[in-house]
Amino acid sequence: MGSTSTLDRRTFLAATASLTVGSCLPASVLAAMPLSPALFVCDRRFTGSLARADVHATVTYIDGDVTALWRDQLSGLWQNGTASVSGLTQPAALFCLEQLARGHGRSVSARHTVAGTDAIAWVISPVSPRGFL
Amino acid sequence: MRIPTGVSAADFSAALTAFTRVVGAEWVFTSDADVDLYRDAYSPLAGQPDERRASAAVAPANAEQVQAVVRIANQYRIPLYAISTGKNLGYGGSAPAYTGSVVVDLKRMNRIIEVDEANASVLVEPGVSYFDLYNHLRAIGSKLWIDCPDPGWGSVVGNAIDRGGGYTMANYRNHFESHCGMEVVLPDGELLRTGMGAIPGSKTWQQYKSGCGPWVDGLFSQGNYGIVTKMGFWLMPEPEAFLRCTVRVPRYKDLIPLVDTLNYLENSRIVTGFPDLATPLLGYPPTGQVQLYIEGTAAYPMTDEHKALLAKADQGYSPELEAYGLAHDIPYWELWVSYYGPPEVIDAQWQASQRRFAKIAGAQFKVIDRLTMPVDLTKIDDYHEPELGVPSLRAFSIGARTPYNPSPSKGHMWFSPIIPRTGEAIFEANRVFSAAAKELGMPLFQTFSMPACFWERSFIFILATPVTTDPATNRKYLAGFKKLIEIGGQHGWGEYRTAPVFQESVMDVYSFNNHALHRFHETLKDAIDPKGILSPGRYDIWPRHLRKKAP
Ligand SMILES: Cc1cc2nc3c(=O)[nH]c(=O)nc-3n(C[C@H](O)[C@H](O)[C@H](O)COP(=O)(O)OP(=O)(O)OC[C@H]3O[C@@H](n4cnc5c(N)ncnc54)[C@H](O)[C@@H]3O)c2cc1C
Repeated sequence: MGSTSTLDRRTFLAATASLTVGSCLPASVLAAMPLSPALFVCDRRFTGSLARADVHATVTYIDGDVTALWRDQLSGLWQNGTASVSGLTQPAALFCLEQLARGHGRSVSARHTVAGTDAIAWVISPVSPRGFL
Repeated sequence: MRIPTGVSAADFSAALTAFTRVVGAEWVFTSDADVDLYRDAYSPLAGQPDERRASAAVAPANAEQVQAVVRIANQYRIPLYAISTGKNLGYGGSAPAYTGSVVVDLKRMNRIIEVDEANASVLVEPGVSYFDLYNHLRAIGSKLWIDCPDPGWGSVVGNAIDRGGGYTMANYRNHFESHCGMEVVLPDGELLRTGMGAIPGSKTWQQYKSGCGPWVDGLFSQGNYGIVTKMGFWLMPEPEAFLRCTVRVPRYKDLIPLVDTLNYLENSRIVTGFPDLATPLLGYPPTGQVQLYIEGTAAYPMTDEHKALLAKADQGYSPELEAYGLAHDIPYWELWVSYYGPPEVIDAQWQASQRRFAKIAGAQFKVIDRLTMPVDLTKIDDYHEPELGVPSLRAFSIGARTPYNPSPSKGHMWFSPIIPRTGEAIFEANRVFSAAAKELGMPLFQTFSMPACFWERSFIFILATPVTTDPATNRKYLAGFKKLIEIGGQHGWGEYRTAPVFQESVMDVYSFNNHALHRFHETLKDAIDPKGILSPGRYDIWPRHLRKKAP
């Protein structure tokens, strides 16, 4: 799966903003963005924009495929606990994570397609009090 | 809230209240936001009035609760639709065959009831995913492998019930055939065990499949005669080693002896792994290795001259293209074969295979991978994980935007007819379906398509029909897909599995003796599910009150 590092909300927003010259995330994504997500998932394609990371959350890098992320981190993290996970990935990776989230009491609470790129910024949070939807 | 057609609001509400009493309010889902999660994420009819949608969902925790739910459904005539993990993407997702059905979501029933290491078998509930089973086996130190489909998030039971396939040894790849024993809730709420499980205190439920008397297990696959609550499976003992090799043959016509020889070797249990057919000259990668090509590690590079010849070829053939391949040592066909077992055995099998394939003039052989077990998980990304018994989700990277896939679709519908396991059939299927696809304006072929070798005695000529964001295009592809089913039927080919939206068309092809098979299915339906509550319409088996055609 590769290296991990950490980042905080400001970096997430900066990362996204730097992909979209002159545009910013909508209020819904900003509101949903946790101050310190348990994990931030970043597709390596978009790492350039995370170079200036201020560190508060673990960053996991993927190369499009979410298998190792699921196997090594999310399946454990989502068994219990209420932590949110955020990310900047391609839609195909988010599609997989969204499907997996549904089976673990979570859903996508915010998503924002970054204009002019393949990137999508998202937050997956627990759905209370549902068991697995 | 949606209400099933023909059910009064009062009855629906009473049924939901009764469901709640059985499973708890937390496990009955009625809000649009919750029920929408059961829509088919790949539906070609997304957002259209005829998209098949559920009215509610209920999630029982055990077989007793499933029985109670089924009895309540009978009382109020509520249509149900059972799913295991509901990841049937490309074949209908988790959406019901009949709009308004209440989804019976079995994800909570996720117990691995028994692992029998000596018998190499397991007994599992429907909510157990391939990832779950894999993790459990590793956690208990088991030396058993799973055989999984490309997406590892699906259900061991659900995939087998829809007759899915995987990638290890032939006798494990067909997931329904590798099952041994079932527990089923019948449409009247009765609990049934099949095979040796019908003997109270049975010692051999996961050891002998058929028991005595008519073997009914097949009725619970691709049907609507029961809700499966437990299922046994035979698993493959971890092999000592794995060997993967390629056989390359130079000429167009070589495909025929290549397939014949493969068949002989497989039917003799000499080639035991998933065979994969590719064509370097036509640029079509092997099914199981497609991710590697997308990631750029094993693509067949082509010169401009090669591309130009390919563009001019008819059905992937021209004498000039063949000559180009011969001159530049680019084989027409490439077969990936693999072997599982002790090193000395698989080496001998490879030797014997080469001796047979060498009868094709110009055949070339290469060893690609030689691994000893256990699998080194740090290197697993270098392989097609399911062939090494490891679940994955990498197939979905295919959906990402890459140089190989510059405009990703919204999903796909698998067109998957069974064709004979011969080279001639591959040529014929390409000729028939590529001509039809062209006429229908469907983007199914680039040059030539190779079939998948999941099953031992037949090929699946599998083609992914894209789902787009444009409803009109989707309608066009849907109509085209139905036409392809019809054309396949005219050639004696039929689908092995299909999404609800195509089930009527597909079952129409199975029409021998004035649809005797379909009539038998519906006779059974009337007998065991007279109120038609269980998965109405699945594989075009409708209860009497919902039938369009005269009984
Ligand atoms: C990229 C991609 C690759 C794929 N590769 C493969 C592959 O290699 N092999 C393969 O087989 N498939 C493949 N598929 C298709 C599909 O995703 C899998 O087969 C998947 O495992 C099916 O979903 P599931 O296991 O969650 O079953 P479910 O969706 O739970 O079940 C399938 C159907 O069976 C019935 N059913 C399920 N459980 C029960 C029950 N307990 N009682 C009664 N009826 C029940 C229902 O009608 C249900 O709709 C692929 C799909 C995609 C998108």
